[in-house]
Amino acid sequence: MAFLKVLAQRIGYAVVLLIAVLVLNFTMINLAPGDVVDTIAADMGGANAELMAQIRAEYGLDQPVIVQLGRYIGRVLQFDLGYSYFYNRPVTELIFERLPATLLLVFSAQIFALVLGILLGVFAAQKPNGLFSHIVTLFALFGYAAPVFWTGILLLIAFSLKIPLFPVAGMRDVTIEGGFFPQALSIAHHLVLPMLTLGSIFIALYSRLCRASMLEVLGSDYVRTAKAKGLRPRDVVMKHALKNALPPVVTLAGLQFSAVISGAVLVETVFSWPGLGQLALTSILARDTPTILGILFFSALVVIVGNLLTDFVLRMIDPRVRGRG
Amino acid sequence: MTSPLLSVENLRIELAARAGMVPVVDDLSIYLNAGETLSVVGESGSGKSMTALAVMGLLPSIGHIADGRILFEGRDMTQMDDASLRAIRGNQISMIFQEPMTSLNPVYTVGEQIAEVLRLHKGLSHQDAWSRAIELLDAVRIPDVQRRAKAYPHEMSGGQRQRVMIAMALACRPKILIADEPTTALDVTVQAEIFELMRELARETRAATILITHDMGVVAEMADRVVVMYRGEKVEDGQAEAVIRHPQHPYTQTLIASVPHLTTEAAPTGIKAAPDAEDPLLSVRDLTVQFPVKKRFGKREMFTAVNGISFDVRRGKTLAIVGESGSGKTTAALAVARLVDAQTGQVTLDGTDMLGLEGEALRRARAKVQVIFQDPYSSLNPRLRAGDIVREPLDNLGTLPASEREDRIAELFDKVGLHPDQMRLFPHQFSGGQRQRISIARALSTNPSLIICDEAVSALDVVIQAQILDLLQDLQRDLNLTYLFISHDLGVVQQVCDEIAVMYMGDIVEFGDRQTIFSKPSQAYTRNLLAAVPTIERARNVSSAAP
Repeated sequence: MAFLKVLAQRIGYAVVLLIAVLVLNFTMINLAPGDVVDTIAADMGGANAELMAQIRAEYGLDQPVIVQLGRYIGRVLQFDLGYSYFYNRPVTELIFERLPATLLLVFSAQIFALVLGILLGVFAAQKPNGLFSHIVTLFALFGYAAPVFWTGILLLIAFSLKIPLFPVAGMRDVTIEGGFFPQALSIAHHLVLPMLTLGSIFIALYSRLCRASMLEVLGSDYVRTAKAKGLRPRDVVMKHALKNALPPVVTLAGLQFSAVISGAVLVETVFSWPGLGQLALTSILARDTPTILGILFFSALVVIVGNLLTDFVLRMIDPRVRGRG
Repeated sequence: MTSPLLSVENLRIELAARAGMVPVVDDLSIYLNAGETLSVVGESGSGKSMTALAVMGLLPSIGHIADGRILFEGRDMTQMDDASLRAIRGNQISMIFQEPMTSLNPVYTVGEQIAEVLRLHKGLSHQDAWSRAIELLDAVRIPDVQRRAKAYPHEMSGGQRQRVMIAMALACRPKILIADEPTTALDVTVQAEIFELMRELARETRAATILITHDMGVVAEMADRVVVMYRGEKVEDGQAEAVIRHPQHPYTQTLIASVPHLTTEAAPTGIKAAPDAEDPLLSVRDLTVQFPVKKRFGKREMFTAVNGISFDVRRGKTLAIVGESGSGKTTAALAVARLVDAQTGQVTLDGTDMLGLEGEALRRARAKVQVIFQDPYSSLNPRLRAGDIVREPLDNLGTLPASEREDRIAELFDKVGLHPDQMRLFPHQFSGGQRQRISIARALSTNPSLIICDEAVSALDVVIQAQILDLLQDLQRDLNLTYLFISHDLGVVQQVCDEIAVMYMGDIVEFGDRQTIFSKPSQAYTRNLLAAVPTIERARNVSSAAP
């Protein structure tokens, strides 16, 4: 009951937040000089002012900004994100075509980074000044410092060209016939390198934080109690310490959702991953305002859902959070 | 005579420090017979907790056993492998720790934490372990056990958490129970209940108990035998009765002297100024402090911490406010100092209406009320030098010319028994007692008319405690200071105060001079509070009354 109340409250906040994001996005895009008509005119090889005004009137771009904003919000609330002048297709259709690919990449990279980061952090905390701990630190800082496109290209050269373990680009092998499993296997095969690339940035953050958090927890009184019970070291660490060390890591992971999405834009470009990132890049170059707004809207949605998830994972882990609203 | 259950022989424990290996326990030999209660007494740093941890095989990673043997039922535990030790830990020897607030894992239910031990050592199924855990919680008198077993530690009070720890420790019917200052963090009435429970359960399970404490009153009430430790060595041992009657070592004598007698023989303290009851320094009328607790249906519910209390503090005297945690004593004092906001009431300090002050006037008035807080470890800014800590109020008020401030700080250092050379040091370079001296110097720097001591000596060892209390009394005499002394420790209160206000659930239930409160308390609550304090006399009466 309390859970449902909190859930309803959080979803309420999320809706308000989304509308604020809509207004902000729309305003910022309209503050930038130039619009899609400039691009169309350029594609046509030039046009006179009269024709351009006509095209603007056709798209409703001659109206005051506030009217455009009102219409836009009204349409979005009906799940209509507008029409891409550049692709000549409804934006919703464009996005839904590519959203699953991005979601797959973002969530798998996030989960991969969390699992590996937490494991590395836990092991590093066992001997905080041991060799393993130093290797983890070095490895993590390398992943964090290296630009993601560079890591991506490096992995491509290593594991697609020199040792051809993984495909170079794309999301699935178009020549594969058959049911769900061969298809899924092909996608998983394509996913490995992009996921590693995107995850590598975040492993550093999560493992460092998990190590610090574990060190603190391992010194606590209740860990001493667990040892005094006669528990095996493995149970002391994995049952009694880890669950207490997780909240800061999970909180950080939630805050990093937006960074994962912006990282995904670069990774998708490097690996020709057919997701929102690629779409974003082309539509920005084309000044395709409705598509950009649509992508921004969905990115915000993913970040908000990610944070909601984080919130509920935290409530699952720590009973002390449950008492609060 | 049969061989003892546990014997520690020539134990030497060393800790790694910057200067190399430092012994914290040296050549210690103690033994424990089946079914008896042995008390290990000493101040912090005497090595008593380290000895207990060594028996459990739980020394911190910087410590190790350099020499000696620990024989449990004839087997040397220092030579055992990890698996054999784990089979003993929590099963045949178990331990209760000092801090009930942090010793339970916050993310598991208390029932689960008890059931876990039973599954581990007794091989019980999940279901059997759970029902046994409930029986154990019932045995330590947790009310409504079926429901409370599913509670998390943060949903329980300190006393209840310590009961859970006891249930956990006794779950496998251990042969030895080690209790490391199990009640230091608890109120005196709760302490009495916990001891009662420990005595009863130890008798029932026939477990031998090692009780670590610094309180000879507790020893008198609980122990069969006692070992006194001082700086890592055993300085005295014997039957508890004999040691208390004829302490040999000076340290033991100091410990016994620090136990409250709760009699009226001690001479009144404070200066004998002319009675000026007509003109009290501090006058508090109908003070009420409330805190918002929870929003329910958008409505804020208020918790009343202080419920319309009134009292006076006379010039040059000490008023003690005593009570258990949650009684509102600290809140009331902080409201007087304007550190928490009062809802209603009147606080008049030296003719000034304290509650009416705002902004700059309030900042100026703060010079008149200074507070010495409980924890000398966390109430001093670790990044400031000791001299700067004392200097800050002077800079802030600016009443003293800048050129004279340095001399004033040196004078204050001298007054509280510190050397002016120590002004350059940082708080972590001082001991707990010295830090509390810095706090006192800081409080004195503004020439306050009222000093609030909020459990100012509770975190200190008894010997240090006595020194600080002496200092406070000397200063009171020399500077004609007035103290509002907040404490839960009736022994301390008896040493310093002239008058006492007993608080319970936000109300003052009894007010009177010290003699009256200690010898003829009129309220049942005050009587309970006094009865809960472990004293040597009472233990003696009980033991002599027994056949």
